[in-house]
Amino acid sequence: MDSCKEASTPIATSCYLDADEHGISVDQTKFRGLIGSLLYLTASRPDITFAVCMCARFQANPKESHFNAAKRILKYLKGTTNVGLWYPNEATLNLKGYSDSDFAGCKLDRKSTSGTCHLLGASLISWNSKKQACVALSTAEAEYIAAGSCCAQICWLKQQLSDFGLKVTKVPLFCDNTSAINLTKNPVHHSRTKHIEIRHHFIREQVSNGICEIKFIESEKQLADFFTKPLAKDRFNYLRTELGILDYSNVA
Amino acid sequence: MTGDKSLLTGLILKHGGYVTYGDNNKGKIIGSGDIGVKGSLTIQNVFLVEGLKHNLLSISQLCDKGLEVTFQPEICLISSKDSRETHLVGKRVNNVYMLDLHCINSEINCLITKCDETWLWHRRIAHIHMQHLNRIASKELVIGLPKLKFEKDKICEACQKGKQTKTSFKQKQFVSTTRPLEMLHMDLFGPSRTMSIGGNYYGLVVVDDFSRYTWTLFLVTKDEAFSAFKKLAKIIQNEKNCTIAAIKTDHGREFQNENFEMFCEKFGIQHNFSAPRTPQQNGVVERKNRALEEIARTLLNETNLPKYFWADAVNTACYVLNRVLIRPILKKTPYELFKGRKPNISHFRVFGCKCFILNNGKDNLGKFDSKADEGIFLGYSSQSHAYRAYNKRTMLIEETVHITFDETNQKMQDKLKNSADDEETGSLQKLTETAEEQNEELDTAELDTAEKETDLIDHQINLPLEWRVPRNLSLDNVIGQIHKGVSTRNLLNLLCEHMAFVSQIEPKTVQEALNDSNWISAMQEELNQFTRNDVWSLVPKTSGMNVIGTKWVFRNKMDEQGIIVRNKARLVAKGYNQEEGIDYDETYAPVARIEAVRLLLAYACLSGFKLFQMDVKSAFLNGFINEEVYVTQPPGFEDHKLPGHVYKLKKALYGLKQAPRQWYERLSNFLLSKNYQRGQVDKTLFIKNSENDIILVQVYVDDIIFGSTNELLCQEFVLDMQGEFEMSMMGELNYFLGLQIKQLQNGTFLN
Repeated sequence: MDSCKEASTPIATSCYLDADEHGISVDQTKFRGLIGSLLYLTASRPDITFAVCMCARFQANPKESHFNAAKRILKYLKGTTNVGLWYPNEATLNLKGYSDSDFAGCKLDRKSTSGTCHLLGASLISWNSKKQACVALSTAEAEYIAAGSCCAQICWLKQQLSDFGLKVTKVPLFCDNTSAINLTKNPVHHSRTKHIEIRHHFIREQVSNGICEIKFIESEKQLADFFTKPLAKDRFNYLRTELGILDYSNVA
Repeated sequence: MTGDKSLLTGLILKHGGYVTYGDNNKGKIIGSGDIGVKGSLTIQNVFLVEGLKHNLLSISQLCDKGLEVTFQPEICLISSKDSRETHLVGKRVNNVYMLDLHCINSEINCLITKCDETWLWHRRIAHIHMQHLNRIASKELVIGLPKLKFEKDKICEACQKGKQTKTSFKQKQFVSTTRPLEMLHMDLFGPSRTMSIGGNYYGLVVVDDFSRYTWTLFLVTKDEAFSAFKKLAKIIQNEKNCTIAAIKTDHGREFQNENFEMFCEKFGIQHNFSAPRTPQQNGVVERKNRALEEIARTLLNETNLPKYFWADAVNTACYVLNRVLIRPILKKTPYELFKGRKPNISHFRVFGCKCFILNNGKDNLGKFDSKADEGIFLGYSSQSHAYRAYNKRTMLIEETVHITFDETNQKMQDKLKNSADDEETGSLQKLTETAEEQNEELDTAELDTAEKETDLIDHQINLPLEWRVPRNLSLDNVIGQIHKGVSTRNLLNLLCEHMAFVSQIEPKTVQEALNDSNWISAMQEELNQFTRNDVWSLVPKTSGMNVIGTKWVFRNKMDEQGIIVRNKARLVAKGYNQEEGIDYDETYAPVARIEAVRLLLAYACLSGFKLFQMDVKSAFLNGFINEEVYVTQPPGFEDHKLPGHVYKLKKALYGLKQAPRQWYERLSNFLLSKNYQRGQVDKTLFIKNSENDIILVQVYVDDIIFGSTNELLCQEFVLDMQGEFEMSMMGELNYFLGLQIKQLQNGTFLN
């Protein structure tokens, strides 16, 4: 892998991994070892989070296609060894949350993927890319679930900040689905949302308590997009810069 | 003849008769002298004649001197008859041949150009030695080289710069001193890489110039040289009843210092130094050093003894050399010259040979216990008429006369017995296995096995293991000395020495580690930490105890470049043998989340304060434990006097299930007592507010990140922590949990 070519993104836009039952099996230990190392790396490299999580779903029975996807991440990393998180000094002290989802992103069981991220000022402090536990029937539902988990994280961050002596109220949570936003405000569309589990309505309470405030954002500016689907090079680079994941040479 | 007084040198005025001229006039001779032109061209015995207007040269007298004068139409030549070398040239002016004194000068210049030619050839032939040029020229081995006499009549600067060598030092053919102690030569050797069994790293060699009697003193550090010398000086001056007149050393700081200066001044000793960077002038002791070291190396190698016996080997070498060396010129041994009687060497034995030491009623012996212990012969006692021997059973050095030697060469024997040995070790291994099996069946499992294992190993290798230093050496010393051993004059040396003190391998087992002095010191360090933290106490073992085994874990610590900088040995408890409810209760300990760390970083960055980190040394050893837990003695470091004992823990040990929790409890209690508040959700965050300032402390087990809007609060926190725990590695936050953190002017970068 030392002499491989560099890739511009960690995962190809056309890459939809499935169980690949007819593929050639690869050494499970080796694959798991690789995924483990990459997961450790996500602590400082949010840009590979989605790709790594994607590959990590196939650890039980890894095939060559999965291994190739993992290798692509390594190719990407090779070209971006100096990339890291940049926390600039000059920014206002406010907390923001972004949530997005990829409706039925998983080809296997048609579950959606939540992607959330949180910024303090311009610093990316927390992010998440997770396949949802239940199948969503609509994009709104998928977004609603993502917003719920994003809100939970906001609660924790808010508490932590209050320990630091910083009081934040009405944390803006940016979502790009109006139906989901409406759902958090009023129990509308009963006929289509009656099946949604109670736990996901947690966000509704938080909104009414004034912990957070759901705001609409255009899909183009949705930063959490980064953690939900494979992106093309230009979009990937744009979001990466917006999230403050920069090359060290651009900083110092 | 001349009329001009000023031309003559060495003028002697005398009345020497008259000179008759062609016109029959007479000139009165009033003196004589030489007309001096430097070198060979002197016209001697020139008369000073009164009133003479011109200088005249007598041709007949020139001819008498063996010169030939040839007159030619324009010039006249005065040359020597034999070599036909022209000395002077005269010019014809009208009908008179005139010799000009200035002309003589130019003649000399001409001679110098001849000289230059030899040097020219010297330079042409690549500054070759003049003698060699002569040889080529005389034997006509090359064509084109003029037949000149090549002489080195001046110094060629280029040759000096290019070829100058050290002056050769001539052997002394006489004894410059007349009595013992008139002059003492001193020098230091070391540091040796391994500590001697007495804990020393350096050797001070003192040689008496007259007798060449030698004393070797062993030192822990260089600065002990003075006190050691002072002691020796008193003893030997008393013994010989005469005083030391002079000492000679090099310019080492251990000799050239205030103490020595004052001592010498007080007792009227002359302190001579060898010229800087000229060890040859200190040759007496330098050569003695070499001889001693060579002999010691030979002695150690012959018997394959561990290197920490080097001091004994050097001592023995010195002892022997004093008795058998012959002082050239005086043709006597140093011992005889110094003590005045012939040495008796009938008691000499082979160094390092096997010996049997009678158990002379020291221990309570059973009727049928063996009466003698096996030992290694280590030389001769300096205080008493006895032998020094290392007792393999007690692992101590004894001085005794009740001793029997087996001087056969062990190595040779081994070769002969090779096949027989193989069988023996085979059976020993079997023995080990069976012993282990039996012990597993027994309840008292681990402790006994460990004991037996080490016992068996002792038999197998027949040599003491390196860690077994005599108990009179305090453990704190060991660590201190290792650091001191590194201290040398410049940084480069320091680095090299440091490298030599770090092992490059990670041993897998204790036995492997025990063969490496670096790892032994690492383990000692860990045990010292235990004593400092008052971790445990030795108690006798009772039947109801659940004793947890311990093991060593060895890790090499690397710096950013991947160079191994430290060997870390950690004693861990085999926590998996612990039973819930007896050995432990609660085990949960909160740790900081990575998000919390990032949040803190972002917050610090936005609020504009710097974060610092520190690290608690052996953090878990600080946690108090509530349960009664017993562990075995550390493998390889069992107390040989109390082998059946176990350690009762007062504090937690790495590997114990409750260790992280106990540490967290200890730390949080300490911080809460210092008026810190625990975070509402994050229990690893501690906050203290004072007026408008705040200090934030994030704890990740033993790594602590902290930062404050007011630097005073930070300093206070550091002082508090240092007062309570042993801390290490403090500074700006730059590396935490695998995150590289760069705190810059305009922000913070993580990768």
